[in-house]
Amino acid sequence: MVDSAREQVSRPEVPPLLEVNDLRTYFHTEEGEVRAVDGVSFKVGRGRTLALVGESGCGKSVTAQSLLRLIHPPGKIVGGSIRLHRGEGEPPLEVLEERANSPALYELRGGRAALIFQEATAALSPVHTIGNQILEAIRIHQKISKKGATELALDMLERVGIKDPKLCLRQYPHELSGGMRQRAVIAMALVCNPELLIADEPTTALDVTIQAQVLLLLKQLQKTLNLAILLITHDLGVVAQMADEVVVMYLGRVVESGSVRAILKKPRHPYTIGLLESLPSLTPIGQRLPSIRGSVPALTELPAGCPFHPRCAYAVPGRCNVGAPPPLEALPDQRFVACWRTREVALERLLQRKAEAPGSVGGEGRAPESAAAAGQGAVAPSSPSAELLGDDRAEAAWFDSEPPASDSEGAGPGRKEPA
Amino acid sequence: MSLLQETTPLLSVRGLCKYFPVLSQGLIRRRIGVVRACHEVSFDLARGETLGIVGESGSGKSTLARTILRVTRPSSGSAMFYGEDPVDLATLSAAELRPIRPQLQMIFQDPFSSLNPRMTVEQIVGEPLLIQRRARGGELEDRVTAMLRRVGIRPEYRSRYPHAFSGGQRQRIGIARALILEPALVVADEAVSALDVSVQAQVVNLLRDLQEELGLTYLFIAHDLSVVRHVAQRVAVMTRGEIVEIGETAQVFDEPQHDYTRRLLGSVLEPDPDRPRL
Repeated sequence: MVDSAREQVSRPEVPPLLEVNDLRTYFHTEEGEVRAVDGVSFKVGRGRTLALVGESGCGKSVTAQSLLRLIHPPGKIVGGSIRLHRGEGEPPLEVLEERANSPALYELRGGRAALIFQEATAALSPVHTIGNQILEAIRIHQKISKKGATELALDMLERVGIKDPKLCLRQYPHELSGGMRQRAVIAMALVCNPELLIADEPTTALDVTIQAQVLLLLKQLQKTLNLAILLITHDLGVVAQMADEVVVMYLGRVVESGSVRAILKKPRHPYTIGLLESLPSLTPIGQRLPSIRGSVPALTELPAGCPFHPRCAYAVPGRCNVGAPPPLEALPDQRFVACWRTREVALERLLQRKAEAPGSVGGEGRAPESAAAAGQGAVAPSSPSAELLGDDRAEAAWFDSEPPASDSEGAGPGRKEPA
Repeated sequence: MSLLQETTPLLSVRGLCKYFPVLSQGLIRRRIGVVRACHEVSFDLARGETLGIVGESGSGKSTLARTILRVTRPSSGSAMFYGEDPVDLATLSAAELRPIRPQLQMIFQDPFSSLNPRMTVEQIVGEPLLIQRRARGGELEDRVTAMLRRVGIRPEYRSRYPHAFSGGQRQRIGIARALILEPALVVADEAVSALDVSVQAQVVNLLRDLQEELGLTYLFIAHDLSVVRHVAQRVAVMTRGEIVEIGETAQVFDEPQHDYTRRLLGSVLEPDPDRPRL
């Protein structure tokens, strides 16, 4: 953890390509105001991949659509900022300050930023050839002859691994297999040389072997084109293989964000913990799968207090079910967590893991009294011993620090600038 | 249970084939070829066992299930079903199948399209009992209530419509409908694939509990290998309509013999950034 933090600090300061701050997208429906995205912030750097993770109904796709101003009534982006940095010396594009249909937005959509969807079939027109659809994209964004555009298209189709690009240009979407269709969509998305690729569940509809191929292709293209990728997915396997940073969303809010290693190896928010534990691959065969109780509630029926508390295994009444949702708090490992009980949860998990496998956590814990400490510690949280944490001083100091006060709504250190 | 029932499998499939004709274009549609959706499939399914069937889309998993359940008629082969009386599902006529159907049930993938939106939960779950004339009136109500409780749906919700339920709850309702006739064999065709992970775990646990309580036998079709690894005692790997490998789950996953199995397992993405696969 300390190593990866140092690594991040020592990297030269390049301004991120995309900066999203406190984005709020609400829908005004008959059942009332639906806060689909409620104060989401993140950054994506060039050549980096940020994964937006969460179950269906958590606001991932609305976030993506908001980035390109694709929200239609009754939806509305009611606040925040979306900043796309341009080359040196140029002012950044403030996406939310452009008026609808401004040239800058046309340039953004499909030009500087491209979007690919889960369903390649639905993204393609069934009555136009692949060639015509790619050429249309090129000619909207570039002043180029038809011949030049065709050459560009052929080149791009070849780069996404289509064996006979000339034939593919003449084919209709139904003549291609699912994997080939998704490749064609990727070619169409990348043909105008975007800086940002928003991939909304790009491989969910594909078979595992094809999924691996398409993800590998995205990774290779990212390297050669220095693409920033915003990857929206619910598949933590895809996240582990693709992402540099992860933002976990629940009911329109960020509940945890940080490096992929921090989030997947040491989840801190009970929702992230629950998501990871529900994966069958992490549970030994024959054991029951741990699951998160209940299901994602409708956004019109937001629980009071922390929105996750009715499903949370660590929630305590009087703390988690009252007042405002917890703010994002910065942890020592460049991570942000929105939970009132982060320290208690972390401690409980440390003790639990120690009880399951003595000696595996932190230093040498073989002392018999640690079992007794485990029993008490879980009830009355206190600072964990050095024995539990090993020599991670930063983490020990964090355990001893004050948790954020409940009355400072939105004023937490990480509220404005996570990641 | 008699000795026969203890030693014979519940289902014994031998050389099952399902071919679809490929017809020429035009007015006179001549047969110009066949698609071998299922070719010479053989396996045994023991009572109380879960056999996982994995493979990519188009490998013939669903066709196999539909052929065994006689949604379609097999081209050749046999499927001996040792229910109350041993029968060959492959050769029975529609009329002969009718009394056997209650013992064979299916759980579908999409909890949104598999439930009739204009029927209440009570009607959806109770309908099989009515069709089979197994129960009516008070008894019907009692059995529906008991089944709803068993799958974790509060009986107070019985008069609600499917739209009022979440994906996971709908899948529970679909399971209740499949189980109310007390089937021996349940085919779960991608039954948890459309669910979010946290809810998927709940439904996987439910299917396991029900199997223990009711002694169910599952044919569990899924493309998600990690789910199959978790629920199935044995697993069959299908590609191009054929089973290329079948065996104990742990063995197939740990020591795959066939190239295709290895390729399939190699494509699974672990949720661990320290084990890069790409």
